Amino acid sequence: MRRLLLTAGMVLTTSLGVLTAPPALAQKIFKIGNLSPLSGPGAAFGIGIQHGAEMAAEDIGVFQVAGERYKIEVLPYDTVYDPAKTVAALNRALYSDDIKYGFILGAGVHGAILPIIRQSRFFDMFLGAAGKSVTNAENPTVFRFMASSDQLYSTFTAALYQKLGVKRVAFLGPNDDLGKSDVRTLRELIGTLKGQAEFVGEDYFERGAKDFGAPLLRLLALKPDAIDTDAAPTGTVALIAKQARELGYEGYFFSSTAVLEAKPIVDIAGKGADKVIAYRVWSKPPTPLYEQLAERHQKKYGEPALGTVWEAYGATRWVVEAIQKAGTFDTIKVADTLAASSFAGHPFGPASWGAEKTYGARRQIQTPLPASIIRDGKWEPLDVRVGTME
Amino acid sequence: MTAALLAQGLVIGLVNGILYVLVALGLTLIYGIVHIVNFAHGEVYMLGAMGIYVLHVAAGWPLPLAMAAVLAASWAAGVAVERAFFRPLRGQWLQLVVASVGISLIAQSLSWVIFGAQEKYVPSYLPGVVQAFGVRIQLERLLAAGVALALVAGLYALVHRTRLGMAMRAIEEDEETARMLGVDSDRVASTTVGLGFLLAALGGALVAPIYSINPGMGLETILMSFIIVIIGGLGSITGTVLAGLLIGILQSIGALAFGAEAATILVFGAMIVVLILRPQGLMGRA
Repeated sequence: MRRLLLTAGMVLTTSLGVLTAPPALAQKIFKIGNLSPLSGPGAAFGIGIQHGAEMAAEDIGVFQVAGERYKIEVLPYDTVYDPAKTVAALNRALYSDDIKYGFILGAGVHGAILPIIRQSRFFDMFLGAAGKSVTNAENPTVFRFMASSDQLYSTFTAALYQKLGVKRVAFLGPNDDLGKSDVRTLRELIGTLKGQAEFVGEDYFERGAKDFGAPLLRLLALKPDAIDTDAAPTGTVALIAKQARELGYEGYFFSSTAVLEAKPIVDIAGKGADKVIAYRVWSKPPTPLYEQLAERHQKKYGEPALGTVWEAYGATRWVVEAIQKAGTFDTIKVADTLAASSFAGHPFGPASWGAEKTYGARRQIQTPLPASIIRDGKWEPLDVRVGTME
Repeated sequence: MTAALLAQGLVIGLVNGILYVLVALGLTLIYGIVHIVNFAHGEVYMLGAMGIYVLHVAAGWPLPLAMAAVLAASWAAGVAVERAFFRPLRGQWLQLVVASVGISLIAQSLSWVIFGAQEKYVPSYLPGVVQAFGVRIQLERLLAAGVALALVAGLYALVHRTRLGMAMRAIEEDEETARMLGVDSDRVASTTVGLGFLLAALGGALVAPIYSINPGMGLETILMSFIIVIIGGLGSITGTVLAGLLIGILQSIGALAFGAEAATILVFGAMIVVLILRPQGLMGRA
């Protein structure tokens, strides 16, 4: 009886041990932070990053680094595009949640967080428009995974102005570091066009402004053929187009924002939306992967995919590939490996790094880039170029 | 600057100014009669715009019905807020401020959750542009300005020509004495706040097709409303109208002459000058 009880106890204990023991092939978690606006006016950008990274995580599945298996988890931190909240989010990600890799959206918030990034060597998958102020040799773990404003200007400006017969250009952009920096870049670039075009004037608006009547009136008095609206969001571009048309303007609008949807612009501006040109909008899918992701996004999330989805997808896959190649999560070693690599699996097409001469470090993504124009309420292709930067 | 440009700028400024007046009037009315600074005024304006979007665009209601529903709801909300929050705290200035800020934050946060971050649009009530003497103005703006002017006149008549208006002025002057003379100050307070909410919601409903709408649209409007009310004089309808027109023209002509940044400096500069030289505002009582 005693032996029977002892045997039963051993069987029971062993069974419990087997049932509760972790599986032999369990994976660790590789956390990627998404430090971007997830509410408020910039939410479309942040939600796009979240979705793009999640879809990439699904496709990567379980991956191996130095003999260990990892699965990706994308953790959101809502920054509301506020520098103070971004600092808080980064500190929380680094020191509470032990996250070393993440997307951080917005040039406007980087001034506050770059010292933290430098000190902690946080791997910043940066999505934002600003150029050298963020991606440079002093910030070796910051990689810009989207086209910068100066990259877009240098890639497209001369060719499109010639194609469309644009001679006089005005700038109406946000009253912040980005707007002030981009207008300088545009003015300098137009200056190099040797009389092909002329920069006639500039004005600024506060983010969130709705009425542009007075600044438009001032700029329209200078008779521009094109108004550059910089990286203004969809609603702002739509209102500028609407109000400019109501004042009699018939020229072009150029936009470098990452997320620009035709439907809201047409809804708000009507026929006035025609001749709105966007640098980052694909009117036709550049690769089968791009189209597959768009369909998948619609099925999975019940809404169309927006600009940052594809950039976040490409960034996640490329960085994980670099980590595997480097054989470590050490952000400096991964940065070196990434900077030396190219990537064939980006939704936009073949990707590489550039801008070593311009920014002092190879930290600017180079991919095929589109320019599209709204005609009769729909995006149509205008140009496609590879955004190379020396 | 050419004469045509100046004329266009003036027209833009005047029309914008009248639209500001409509929202600011509600604020000054509530303060003037019940001495409450309604920090939730911008959210009421935003909810007026959202209400039109939900009922007229999303649900497909005819515009007159949607507008009537929005106005009725805003009136009812004003009465409810006065009874539930303002009345119990009357006389306690700090608690009233905290309560109205709290209502504002709750309304805005809920709106971001319910309506989302995407800009919404309302089709124009009156599409088209009218041009005269080289000046272009959108018909929908003219409509909004016309309605606002009519309301200003109506409100002035209400306050100065009706028994209700007399009761409002009596309470504004001396509530205790007014009560002793038989004025139902609670009913007047409810009516006043209801009217203030209605004016703000109507402002939002009128500008909905002019601009796009999102839950954050009340912020800039409430700031401008406060500036107008301070310059015009808290509680003064005439002062609010004058200040609104002045601010609209300053913004427009300032931006035209010097750029948008300079226009902002001019507006705040005007507010500071008035506060220094005439702290009670242009038409306020010392």
